[in-house]
Amino acid sequence: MLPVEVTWAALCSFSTAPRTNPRLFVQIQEVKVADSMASFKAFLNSPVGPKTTHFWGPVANWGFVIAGLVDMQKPPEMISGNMTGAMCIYSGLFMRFAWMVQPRNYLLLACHASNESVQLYQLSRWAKGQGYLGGEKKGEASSQ
Amino acid sequence: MATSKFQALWNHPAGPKTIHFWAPTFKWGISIANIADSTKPPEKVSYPQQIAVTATGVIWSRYSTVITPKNWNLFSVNVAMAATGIYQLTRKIRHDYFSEEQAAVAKE
Repeated sequence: MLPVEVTWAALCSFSTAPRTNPRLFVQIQEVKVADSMASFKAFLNSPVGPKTTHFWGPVANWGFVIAGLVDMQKPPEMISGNMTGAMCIYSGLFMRFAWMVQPRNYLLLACHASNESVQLYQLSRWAKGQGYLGGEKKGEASSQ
Repeated sequence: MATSKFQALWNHPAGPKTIHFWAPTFKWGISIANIADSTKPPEKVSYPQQIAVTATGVIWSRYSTVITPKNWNLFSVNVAMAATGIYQLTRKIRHDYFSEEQAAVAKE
């Protein structure tokens, strides 16, 4: 066992359930750690893993989600209705694309699902700011 | 002859009956939105968003040549996205960092 795994296993053995047989408990933790290391290595080498463009394409698209989250802090006047509306339709279509493409790309699917939510929220903020959703348009007095 | 060519396109695995066609076709909407926004004042351009557009365009241009089926429509749209993203970024950077220098120089 590598020193790292033994240390991690030892740390795990202090964490949760009552220990009836401490040595057995530690062994179970070691196996769990070894399994997760193996699946991590499998991920690294998978056909949709970080050595391939199938990974980095979707990672780039998370940029839209992050940009959307950052822009949620900005005033609605700064939101582009064109771009946000386009993003909403775009992410909807690409959720389907991610499902149908070969190889199927769950990371891309997750990315566009998140982006859809963020962009719809931004769209609602923009629409409210423009007076479409019954909110007062900034700078205009309400007639009611 | 024309009909069979049309049929070949119509039935293509990345053709108009599939999502492989419509998703990239709609992605042009992002570039068009960006072009429409190119007349807006640079203060309104969002750095995070345009960086995301540019990075996506560049990485996806590569991605679209590697997936099955190969998707040239997707390739072209991502090249356009990268181009419009870079254009918006240069507009904003020029406004933020270079026009102020000119104003400062003019004051001196």
